[in-house]
Amino acid sequence: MAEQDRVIIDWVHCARRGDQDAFAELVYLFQDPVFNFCYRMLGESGEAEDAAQETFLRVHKNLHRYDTARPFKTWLLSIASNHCIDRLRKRRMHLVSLDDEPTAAALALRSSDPSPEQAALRGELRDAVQELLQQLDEHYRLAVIYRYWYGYSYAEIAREMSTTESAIKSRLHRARKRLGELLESADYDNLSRLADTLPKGN
Amino acid sequence: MSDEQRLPQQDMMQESIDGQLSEEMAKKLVEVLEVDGAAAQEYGRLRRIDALLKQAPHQRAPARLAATIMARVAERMQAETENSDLSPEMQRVMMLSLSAAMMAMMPMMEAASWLVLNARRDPELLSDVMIETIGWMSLVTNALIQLLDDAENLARSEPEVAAATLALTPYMLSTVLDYLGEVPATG
Repeated sequence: MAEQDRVIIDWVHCARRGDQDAFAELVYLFQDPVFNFCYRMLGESGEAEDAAQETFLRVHKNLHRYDTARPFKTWLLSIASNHCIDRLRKRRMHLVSLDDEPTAAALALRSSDPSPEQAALRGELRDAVQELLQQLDEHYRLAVIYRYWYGYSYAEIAREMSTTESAIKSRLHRARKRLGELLESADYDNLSRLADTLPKGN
Repeated sequence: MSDEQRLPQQDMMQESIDGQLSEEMAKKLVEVLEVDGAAAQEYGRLRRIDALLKQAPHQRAPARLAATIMARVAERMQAETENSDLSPEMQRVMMLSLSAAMMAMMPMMEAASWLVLNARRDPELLSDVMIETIGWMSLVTNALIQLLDDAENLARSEPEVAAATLALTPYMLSTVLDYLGEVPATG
C-alpha cells in the first residue's frame, strides 16, 4: 500500500472516531476530484457544489461502511456518482431539460461569434466540452467521465457501473461517435477548429 | 480466421484510441483505413473528440467548498450530541430495557381487552370498564415516561443505577398487572 493510501486510511479511522480535523483532511484532499465529477455529470457549477457537499456529508455519515481494502477515492466517487444520478432523475421528473436552452458558455462558442485567441479558447474549452457532454445520456456520460477525467480502465468502469467490459467499450464507442458528430455540426464550429489544433497522439 | 482477425473495425478503432491495440492489429487497422474512406473518416472523428476530451481541464472546487462542508459536518455532529450524549453501550441498554417494558405491557393490554369484551353487553358496565381501563393505561404510560426520563438523567451520572432502574420496569408493570388481576371479573 502506498504511503498516501496509508495516510488516508489513518484519517478515515480517526474520522470514524469523531475527529473532525481528520475528516477535514479528507475533504481538502478530495474536494477537487469530487467537485469536478459532479460538475461533469450535472453540467452546472452551483448544482455541482451542492452535490459535492451532499456527497461528503454522506461519506461522513457512512464512514463505518467503507471497506479499507478498496481505494478511498473510488468509494467516494461511487457515492458522488449515485448522488448525481439521483439528481438527474429528479431533474427529469421536473421536466427541466438542458437541451432546450444552451448555456451561455456554449453560445459563446457558436460559429457566429468572432474567433477568440487560442488562450481564450483554451479557457472556454472547459465549458464547451461540458456542453457537449450534456448531450449524452447519463450512463454514456458517466463512462466518459470515468475514462477521461479519472483514467479508469474498461474493467474498473464496468465494476463501478455494474456491467460488463464489452458493454463499457460499446458505450464509450457510441459516446465518442455521438460527440464526434456533434463536433462536426455547425453549432460547434469554433470548438471543432480548436480540436484540430490539439495533439492526437500517434 | 483468428478471433483477432474477426475483431470488427469499430473495436479496433476503439482499442487504438485507448492505446490497447496490438502492433499487429494496428497495422491491420492502417490497411483498412487506407482502402475504406468512410472508416478513415470515422476514425478521424473519433480521434478528434478523444484529443478534445483529453485536453479538457479538471474543474477545481470553489474555495469555500471545504469550509462549507466542514461547517455542515460540525453542525450535524453537534445536533447528534445534543440528541443524545449517552454512550452507544448505554443507549443499547436503554433500548433493551424499554423493549422489555413494552413486552411486559402486552399482557396488560390483553387483560384490558378481556375486560372490555366481557362488559360490552352492559352499557353502564362498559362505560365504567372503559373509564377504569383508560385510567390504568394512562397511569402506566405516564409512569413509564417518567421512569425513562429519570433513567436518562441518571445515566449521565450513574450509568449502572440507570440500567438497574430500567431493568426493574417490567417487574413494576407485572405488579400493576397482579393488582389488575385482583379486580373482580365482570359479565
